[in-house]
Amino acid sequence: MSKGRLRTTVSAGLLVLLAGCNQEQSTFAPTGAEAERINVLFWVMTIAGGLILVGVIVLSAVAIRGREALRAPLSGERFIRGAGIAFPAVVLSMLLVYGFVILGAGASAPPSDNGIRFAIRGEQWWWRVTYFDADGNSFESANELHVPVGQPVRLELTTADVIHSFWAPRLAGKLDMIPGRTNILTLTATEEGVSRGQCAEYCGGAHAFMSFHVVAHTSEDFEEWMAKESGPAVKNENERAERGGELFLDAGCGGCHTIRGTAATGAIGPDLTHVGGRRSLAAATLPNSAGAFADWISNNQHIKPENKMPPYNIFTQSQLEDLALYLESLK
Amino acid sequence: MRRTGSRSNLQGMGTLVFMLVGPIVWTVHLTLIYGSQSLLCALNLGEDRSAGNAAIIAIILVATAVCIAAVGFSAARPGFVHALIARADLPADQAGFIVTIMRVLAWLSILAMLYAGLGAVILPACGQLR
Amino acid sequence: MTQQYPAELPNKGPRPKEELEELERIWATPKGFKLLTVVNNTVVGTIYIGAAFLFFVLAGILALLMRTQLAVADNNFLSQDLYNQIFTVHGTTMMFLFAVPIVEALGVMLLPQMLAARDLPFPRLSAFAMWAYIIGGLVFFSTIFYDMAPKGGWFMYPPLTLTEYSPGNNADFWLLGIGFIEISAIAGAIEIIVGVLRTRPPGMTLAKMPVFAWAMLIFAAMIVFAFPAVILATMLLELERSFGWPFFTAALGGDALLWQHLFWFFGHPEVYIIFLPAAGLVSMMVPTMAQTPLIGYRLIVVALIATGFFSFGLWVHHMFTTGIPGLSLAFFSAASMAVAIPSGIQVFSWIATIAAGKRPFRINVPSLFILGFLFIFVLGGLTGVMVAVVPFDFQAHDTYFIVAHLHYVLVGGMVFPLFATFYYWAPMVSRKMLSERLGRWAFWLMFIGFNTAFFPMHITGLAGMPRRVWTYSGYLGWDLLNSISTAGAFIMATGVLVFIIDLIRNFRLGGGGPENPWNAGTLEFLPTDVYSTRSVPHVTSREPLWDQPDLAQQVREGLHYLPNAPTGRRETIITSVIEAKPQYLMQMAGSSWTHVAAAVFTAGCFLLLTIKAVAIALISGVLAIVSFIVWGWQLDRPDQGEVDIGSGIRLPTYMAGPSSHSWWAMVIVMLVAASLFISYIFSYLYLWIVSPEVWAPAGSPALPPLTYPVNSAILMVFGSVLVYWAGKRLPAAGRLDLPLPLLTPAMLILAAAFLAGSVGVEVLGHLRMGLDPSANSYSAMVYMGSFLTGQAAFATIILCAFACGRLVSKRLDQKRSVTFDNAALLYWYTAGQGLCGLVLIHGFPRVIG
Repeated sequence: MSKGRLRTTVSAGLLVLLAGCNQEQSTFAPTGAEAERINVLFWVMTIAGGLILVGVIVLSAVAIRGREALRAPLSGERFIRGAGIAFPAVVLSMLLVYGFVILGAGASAPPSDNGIRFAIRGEQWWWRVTYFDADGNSFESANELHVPVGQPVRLELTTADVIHSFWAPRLAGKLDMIPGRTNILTLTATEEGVSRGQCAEYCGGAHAFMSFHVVAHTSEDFEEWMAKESGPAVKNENERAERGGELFLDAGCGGCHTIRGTAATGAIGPDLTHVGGRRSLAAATLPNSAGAFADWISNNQHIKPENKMPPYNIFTQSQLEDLALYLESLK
Repeated sequence: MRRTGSRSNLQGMGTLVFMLVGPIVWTVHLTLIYGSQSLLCALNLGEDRSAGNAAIIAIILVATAVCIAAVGFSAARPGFVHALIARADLPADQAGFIVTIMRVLAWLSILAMLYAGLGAVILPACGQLR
Repeated sequence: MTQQYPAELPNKGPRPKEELEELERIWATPKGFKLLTVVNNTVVGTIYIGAAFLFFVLAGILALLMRTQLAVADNNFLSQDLYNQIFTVHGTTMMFLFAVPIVEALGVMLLPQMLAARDLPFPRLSAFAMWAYIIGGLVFFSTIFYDMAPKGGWFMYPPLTLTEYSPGNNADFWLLGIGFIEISAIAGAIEIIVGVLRTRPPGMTLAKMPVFAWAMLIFAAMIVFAFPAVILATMLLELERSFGWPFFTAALGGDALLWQHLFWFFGHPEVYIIFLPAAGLVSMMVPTMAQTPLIGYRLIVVALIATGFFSFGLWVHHMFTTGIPGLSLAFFSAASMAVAIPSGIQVFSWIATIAAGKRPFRINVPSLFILGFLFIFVLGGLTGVMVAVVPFDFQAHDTYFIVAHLHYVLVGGMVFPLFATFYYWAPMVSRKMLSERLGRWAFWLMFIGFNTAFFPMHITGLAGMPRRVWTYSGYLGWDLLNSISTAGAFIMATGVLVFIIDLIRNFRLGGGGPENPWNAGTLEFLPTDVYSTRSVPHVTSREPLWDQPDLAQQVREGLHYLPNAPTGRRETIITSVIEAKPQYLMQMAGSSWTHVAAAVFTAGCFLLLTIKAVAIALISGVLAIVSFIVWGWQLDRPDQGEVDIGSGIRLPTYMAGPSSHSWWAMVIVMLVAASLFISYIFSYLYLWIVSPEVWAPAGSPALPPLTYPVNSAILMVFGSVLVYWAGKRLPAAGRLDLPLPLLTPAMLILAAAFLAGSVGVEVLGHLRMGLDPSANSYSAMVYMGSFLTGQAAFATIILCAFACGRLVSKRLDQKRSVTFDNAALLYWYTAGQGLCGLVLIHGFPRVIG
């Protein structure tokens, strides 16, 4: 407990440095089993390393300005053998074993028994997320991962193009997405709430804009969410949004995007069936609002240069607004 | 060799190699354990995991033991090993320096090999552990 | 200990005045326009260091641009595309154009002085390496101005760098530009190894070598084994980009991770390649500042060697997050721990030496930089141990924590010692010392700036900021930390600026500066001129200048070995490897245009290939080969008879066989080629493990019938025997009346033809079976084997033709046989490599099938 309290105190000190730092993407605020283990490991190493650094500074100071009696024990080969060989050998041996044990702990999470699978595919520069339920049915979403709290979940990480790296710092360490391979990452969220993640392997052009959110629900909420999310898009009664829906199909947006329950079945870009219910647009580049939709459609190459969607300037201002209202309504 | 003076330089090369016995065996050790583990894990996929895994762990531990024994022997009997490698006695006035370097390197290499072998004691052979 | 100081000095004084004049004439630095032809190590070293420092400043300016962009969130100071180019060029320039070259430059500059040799054994080779590097480096760097710079990161991971995702020539500039800077690094490494092992002064046994010489020896040996891996990687990637040979495309059986293995097998040792020489420099300066011999010399030598080896067992720690089995990661975590111990040894040796030193410990600019280094490097080493612990690296990898760590190790471990070096050794080449006052300003600005810039990055990274992002959202709150880092970067840059001002004000090339201003104990502080030291001292301890107070005077008066130039040309003493006993006098090459032309045309060939101007590139390549041949033709001068160097020691002036420096250089060339080929064998087997389904006989056309490889092998074996017989039939020295005088050259020509034929038969066999190199990774690997052997064969054939030319023109005989020895060694090596290749290509699929 007291170790925990010490850690909290040191963390608090650090927080002063992090003043104004949002903790949504921070390894210092773990909400997942692996991230928690690593956070403890970090503090153990940091404190031990800090002490060693202070020790070296003190020894150097003694060597430079210390009295003869203090310097004498430092000035021979025996000192090197003790401080430079024996001491590091002992410390490193302990650290190595500790590291191996923590590494081995990664294997202990048993696969979840509800049969749900998650496939995440990195694409330049967004995340395609596919959920498979126990019966093998699947549906797609993008740039947002929803998981139940307390259950280990298996993420199948692949890539459609170059190497990406899936990193949700508050939940676990990163794991790369490599062409021709499927890497399995097992996550266990320990707390409800939203956190943020980002691509951690440089993947060209808009690498800086390839982020996502992870939402951890209680089991009941998660099942509710799954039931809603797997369904088709909600019908909209608003007249302008309805016009926007027609515009979406007429302008050919369905060539790249899918909206389940409509004629839009494109598979190139993100599935937009429930895009209005997500926390962000364009891989956590913009907040989710009607204004942001309009901005994105006409101005996306400025907002996120080199992204694969061409800017659409064919719409009038009111058409753009209709389209944006429609997309926003897809909760 | 048809030219004079060549022997001492080839022996010099041998003495350099002799000094490096520990790290050279360490290199062989890493190649052996990493190579065999990667290969067997790649081939073993989908087959009976437990037996294959035990075999991999056994290979690593045996390789570690053999390599450590080899380096330990060299550190204990430097004269013999030098004669084996360089086909000559140690240069008398340099022997102290050369053997010291060789011995400390040998101990460091043994430690490094122990560290690597330790992994096989604690961790499963092929799991991704993520 | 048993080595005795010679009862009498090797030579008697006073020396005749003409000796000095002759030395000055022979070693004179060319003037004016001809300065380009210079080979003297102090001049080449100064230009070399200057060029590398220029790249340091340029890449530093790029860093400032990046820090400006990142100072606040959502900034638009740089565009996304330009930022991606800038961080790629920053990393590439710092690693390839600054760090490695400046260390080689310091070797060229300092080693001959520390070893009291007249020059390094292959002076034109170091000048060639320098010019090739300067031309290639400048062209590479300038691409940033035309929007043509590579933008795949300095690590250039495929598939991002394949044509599909990186169209245009940008990536090719990286590949060809760097490929050829790698070659100049290897040229330098050969020079340094032979230099340290064979040009030491009499009496300087291994146990008495300055630590810097040990460090450089290990540095160069590491280059020999590490660089070939990245050379192979760049070849594979360029072949895939240009001709579609799929080494890295997963859909065709390639694997993106192959690149990472090859790149980091080079890339991690690279870090220690940079650090070890810097540590060696510190081990030279600390004893001087403490005025006492280094404590733990033997342990430091052990530490350098152990680091050199263990650093080759770390490469996978750059790949901890790629999803390879946990136990594999554990092996590399273990090696990463093991490599920390040698660093501990060095740090505590320096502290021990300071503690043992005379009082008070001198605090001046070099020692400030060393103390700054000690603090920064220890911190960087500790974070290094942290990231070596696999689970922690899962979080830290590719974040700003790593940016902080690597700058702590590289800037702390290498740049701070380098600045100490500048202040410490400047008096060796400058008439004036650098300013103590400006130097202190430079140090404090750099030290404070560095820590302000990089310490916060540890936190930024763990707060979630990944590397290589050109901007970040203000909503994440990373602004404050980033603003602090940016401020620090500018403070540090101011420190560098102060140093540059100091250079402009005080650095004046030329002799006549203060002699041994720090009262150092090692030979580089002997009085020198263009010919290095007047005479070569007999060394009896590690700090000769402390132990023999009159040494400087004796050396200057020419009372030690070789106070003159007995052959009337440039020459230096070659000694034995372990005990440094004088063996012969090496005749050295002087100033020349040949190596300059070779550098220009080699660079031209590579760079023109990059912009796909194939025809002119080939012409340039041919001109480069011609330049090499003319250069080589001027070497291998005939025996000048025995000469007396002092103490009654009479040395021959010509040596062939295993005692010759040239033989050692050739052996190193063979080691380079062998490591390249071993990397290839690894790649072949690696891709088989990843994609056994495309391997013959199941997934590809069947192997050619055994007659093809057998014929190919027979040709190589016959060729090797022919070369051996040719060696037996060399004309006796001075005798020209051998029966059938053209038989020996004809045998060599025939052997060369056999080699070409052997490669041809092998390629033909696969073509006949319909194997298409762009079909899958297996077929590409099969042809790659012939490509590598063909490359070695090409060099061998040129050497054989060259030897024939020497034979016919009566410049080669039984005694004067170095040219032939080299051709024969390379021939046998190539044949051996070719046979291994045949066994792999034709044997392996048959075994698994």
